[in-house]
Amino acid sequence: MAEFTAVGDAIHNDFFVVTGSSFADDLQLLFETAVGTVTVAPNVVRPQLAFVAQLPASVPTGRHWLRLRHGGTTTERIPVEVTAGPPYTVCVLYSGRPKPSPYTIVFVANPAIESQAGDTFNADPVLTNRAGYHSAVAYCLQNILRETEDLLRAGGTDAQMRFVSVFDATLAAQQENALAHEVSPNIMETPFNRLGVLASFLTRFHEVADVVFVLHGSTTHTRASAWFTRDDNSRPTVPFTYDGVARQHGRFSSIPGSCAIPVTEDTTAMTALHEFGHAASDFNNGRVVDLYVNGTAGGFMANKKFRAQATDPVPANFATYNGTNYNSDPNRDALGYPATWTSYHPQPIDATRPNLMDNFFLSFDTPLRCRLDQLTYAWMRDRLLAKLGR
Amino acid sequence: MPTTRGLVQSIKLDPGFRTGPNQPDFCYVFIGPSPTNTTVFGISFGSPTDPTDGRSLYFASVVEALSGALFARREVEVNDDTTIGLIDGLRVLPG
Repeated sequence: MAEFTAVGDAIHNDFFVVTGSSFADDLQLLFETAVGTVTVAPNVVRPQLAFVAQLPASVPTGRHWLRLRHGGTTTERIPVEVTAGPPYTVCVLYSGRPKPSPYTIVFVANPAIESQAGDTFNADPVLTNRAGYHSAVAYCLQNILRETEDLLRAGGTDAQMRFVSVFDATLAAQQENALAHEVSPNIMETPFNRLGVLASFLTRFHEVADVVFVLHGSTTHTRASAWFTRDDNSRPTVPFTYDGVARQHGRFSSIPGSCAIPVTEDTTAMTALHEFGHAASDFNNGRVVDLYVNGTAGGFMANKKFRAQATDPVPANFATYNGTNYNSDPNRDALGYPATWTSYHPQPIDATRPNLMDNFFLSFDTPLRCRLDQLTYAWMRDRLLAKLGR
Repeated sequence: MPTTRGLVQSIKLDPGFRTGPNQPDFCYVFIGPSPTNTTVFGISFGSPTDPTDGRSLYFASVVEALSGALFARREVEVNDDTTIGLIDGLRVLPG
């Protein structure tokens, strides 16, 4: 009996995913016929899934037997019918835990870009670059699920999450389809003044998201950004205390968290998980903010505090979260606080590299090994578990 | 530039992510008279971050042609770089 299942259809140049259990990192997909075999190595492997960004056209159309080879073993085979296309508009990449409201991350090919002034809407070039979009989805999945920081995958929690892709090249360049907004000089954001468009857009595709990755093709506004989730605290919540103040992790959101990332994003960077860190935090009960600037994002920030004077010492204790004390980072990892800064941060998990929410490009080896600080990790894990547990 | 003639016995496609960030996709082609008697050749797909890169499209087409030859049991002739076995020319022979 085969120990895996193919998700959806096998279509040239579309996503192709197999699911199962105990997949090893060396997994390969063997497409066999009576005369030969094409072996495809997935872009991303987790114990429960193997993800191919685009099924190569070198796997011929027609009936194949599909086996998996991993961990020194080869599975039984299942039949797979490979077709030439067209690729689907909506692809469920992984269905997550079977329940009414699984925690859901949606990748969207942005249909239209809103100008900074908000008076024009232009077609997003990503709609004519499906290959680039697929590569960007692969990068994001690799980045949030496979690098050193295990925020989403610790304890196998990513196996409970639903992942979906939406690529609809038929949509017109108009406001209701514009999920990206240009901000001078080079930032692309999800449209802050009308973030409700994200949920209404996805409703057309029968999806409800917790976090939306808006992937765009702009070549002028290539700096990624994110907006926090707005939890719906009229629905069930999980209470917590932060410095003695009672707050809530919402199990549901009224507006999903969101980030805008260019399909040309540098894959040596931790941009996808960094932006997820912002997007998955909450406007009202804890914002996870950038640590590479001294400024404040306003509201309650979970990962940044300020001294009265830049010359004041960094307090030893950063915060008390749910009764546990978390220390401050006296040295800002290995980077050091500039003399004029009043802000300070929680103690990092890895003191030798920059915090994932700081300037990870300054890592001494590779940004891909950067991690969060201890407090933000604990706080964000609890937040994810609150939503996964709904 | 050596030329090798034979049947395509199998093809293995490896996305660049498996070898590191920003690495090109790679294809291994096993050519020889039988599955247990082959020579392995490589094809590098060029820039993975620019799928419109002409070099990437060219080598993707070469792999498709090799795949067609594999499943049609047609012989091929490949030209390869003398040092590292990278295919830089292909002819699918008449059946």
